[in-house]
Amino acid sequence: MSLRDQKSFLSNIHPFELLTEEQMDKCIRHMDIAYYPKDEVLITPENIPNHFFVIIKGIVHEYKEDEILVDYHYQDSFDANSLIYGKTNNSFKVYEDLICYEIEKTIFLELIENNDGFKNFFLNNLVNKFQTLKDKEYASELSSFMIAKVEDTILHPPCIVEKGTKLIDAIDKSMQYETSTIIVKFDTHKYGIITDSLLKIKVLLEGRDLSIPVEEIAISPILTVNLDDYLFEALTLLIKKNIKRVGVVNNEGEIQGTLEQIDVLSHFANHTYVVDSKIKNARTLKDLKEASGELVDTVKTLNAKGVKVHHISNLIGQLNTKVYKKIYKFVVPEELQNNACLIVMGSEGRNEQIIKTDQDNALVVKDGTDVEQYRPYMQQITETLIDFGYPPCEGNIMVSNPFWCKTVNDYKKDTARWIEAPDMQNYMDLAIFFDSFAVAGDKELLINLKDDLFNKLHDKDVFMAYFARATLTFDTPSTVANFMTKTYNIDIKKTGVFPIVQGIRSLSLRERIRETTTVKRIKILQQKKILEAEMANELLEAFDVLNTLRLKAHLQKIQDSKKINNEIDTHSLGKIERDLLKDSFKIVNNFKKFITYVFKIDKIS
Amino acid sequence: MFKKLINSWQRKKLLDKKYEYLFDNPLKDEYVCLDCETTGLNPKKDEILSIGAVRIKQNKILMRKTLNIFVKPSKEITEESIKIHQIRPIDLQKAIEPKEAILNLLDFIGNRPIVGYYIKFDIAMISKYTKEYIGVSLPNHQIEVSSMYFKTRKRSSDYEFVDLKFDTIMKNLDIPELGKHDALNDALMTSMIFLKLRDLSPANSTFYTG
Repeated sequence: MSLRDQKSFLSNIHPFELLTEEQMDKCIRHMDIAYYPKDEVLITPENIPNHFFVIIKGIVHEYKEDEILVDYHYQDSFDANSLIYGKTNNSFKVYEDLICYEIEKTIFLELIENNDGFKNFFLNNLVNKFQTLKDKEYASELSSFMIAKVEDTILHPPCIVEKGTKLIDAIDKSMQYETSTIIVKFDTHKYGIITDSLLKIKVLLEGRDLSIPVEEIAISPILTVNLDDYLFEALTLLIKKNIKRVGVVNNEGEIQGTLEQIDVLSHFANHTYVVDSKIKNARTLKDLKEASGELVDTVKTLNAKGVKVHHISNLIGQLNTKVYKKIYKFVVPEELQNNACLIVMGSEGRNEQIIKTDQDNALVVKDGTDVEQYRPYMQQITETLIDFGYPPCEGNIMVSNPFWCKTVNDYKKDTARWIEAPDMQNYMDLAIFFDSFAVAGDKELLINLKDDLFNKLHDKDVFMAYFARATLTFDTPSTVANFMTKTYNIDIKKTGVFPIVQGIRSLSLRERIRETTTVKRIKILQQKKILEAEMANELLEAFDVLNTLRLKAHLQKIQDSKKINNEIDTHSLGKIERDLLKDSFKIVNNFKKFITYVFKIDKIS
Repeated sequence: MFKKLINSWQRKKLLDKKYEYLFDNPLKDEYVCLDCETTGLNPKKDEILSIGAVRIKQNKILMRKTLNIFVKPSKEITEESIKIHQIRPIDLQKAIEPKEAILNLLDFIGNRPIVGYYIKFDIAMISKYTKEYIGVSLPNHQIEVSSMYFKTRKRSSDYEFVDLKFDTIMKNLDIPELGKHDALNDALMTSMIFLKLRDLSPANSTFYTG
């Protein structure tokens, strides 16, 4: 390979592109190309070679004793650790005829010494490795992991007035700032807001005088986002709270400006906003159906714009809740609405269903109210949802099923039965039910039920062990080669997503955590010191990677008009995606061991 | 025996005793793989435009010891040949005189066996020059990768056709393709073919006894 070819090969491999021209030349001057046939052992704890390997073609497996830990492919490199630390516990063996570059050890160490980016890549732990990859703009492959920050938008300079300012003077100042938003400073870090619509209601309608002090009508505290929050979080807040603007604060809590909904929307497609207002304005089920039908397009747009999958699911969850609320309002007679609570459960309850794959919902009816009068309406709700394109639940976990439409007391009997006489079905029902989230009606009914559930589980260690054991139901591959060579479709839900969800769910149930989304649960578990920060961060990263790959596969299947399932074609993954997937599986496998340990699952099986 | 005789006869014709080493017994497990780009396919009248060569030691292609030289042609290269070897006049700006190039090459090769694809042609081209400069043609042992490849192909009869095109061999052996029509890249790909075939029987015992 001419020098130029070698250079272009190497600079396509992270982190070699971080080398300076001079360092790259040096690297190239000190490397050879080697060929090793299948089964050749390259590195063992007893024999560490004097060079660093970069694969041009072929596959190498890293073993610990007999277990394959990692597999290396085209453009992968190894083994920095044994060179840096001068020792390794693992061995490396050629799995498929190998052609590779060999970079001289002394040169490799010299590069690490002299190039911080290069050094960080090899020395960092997994989480940092993810971060390094993400911080780099690998436009196409990593775009879905990237996202704009609030500070990237145009901020309107805030019109701030002190407490005690006369309203008329404040309005005058706002005219100079050419804004309709007046920020009232009550105290350090305490702000209120006056908007045009507030003036209309509180001043014009109520006939107040313009000489009153601003604090008399200002709404306080103003909702804010941080400068380095993701823009997407701001949008979610705007939609959730149904407001048009938020204040933007810096890390010291000082207002830096205001962010208008329109600014956020100019960053994303207008789509989200359009869907949101369509849902809001829908006056009939037909309108609503049309609006909710656009959710898939919204997901596509957001995904294409590089919005993080966690944020997409959050937003879709918000919109979805609104759809449920409206359906409930349209279908159930008004006098019945507040004596019951419509809940979504399972992945819908966790806000983790981006592309609709099924519906899990139920109705909790106040004790003493006749459940029968709700039945026809619940039937109608299920039919409406199916009509809206929410596929029916195979397990019939839907409000139309009398089992999932009953009084608080009846649910309590169920949870007691699930705990006392558990079988696989009961564990799954309990798992789904624990993830429930109230979308319409009287939310207190569900809160009551969860309290009851938590109390019943007090001191039920054996039950919890069985419940947690479901985390281990499906195998998680430890290498990519297993499916690179034979089957290259893997069920990403069974192998990766489910173990995280179920493990975290088990911990949350034991710790009485009411949050339903897996991401928030992980954060709370970390605060409670149930999970160490490192494991929590790794889980969040892995969960994000797995869901991103799953969403990508879902969208591809929709585009190809194929049936949606959770299989992903690993042959279609790029190098970085493959690395991230491998690392994620490693994290999932570690987490499984952790769950086995903390719930003492070994003791029951 | 016969070969020795020719060798010693050749040796006598050497103009410069400095090059006697070419006739020594070569080091074990070291090779040179080379490829030439030429103005045409007739060693009698065509000229070498560039030479790419790499050393191979055991299982390694020693990239840090490569040779990539461009040779000044005696006359302008024709448009026809530019199309084939893709060496434009501008590429020849850093070209050196043929004599310097060939002597450099001899130093690089030493007495190592020479590996190549249709290597006879390259050797014939180079020998044309060495005869002029040092009085002998290249005496090194030659290893032909296409015949190594031929021996590894399972055939139903002796008459069955085996496709020996470079691209076919590359593809069947799963060798990564580098940039084409660059003497050094060609030499490098040929080296990979050699290393891979060397491990396959029956070629193992048949070739490179040196």
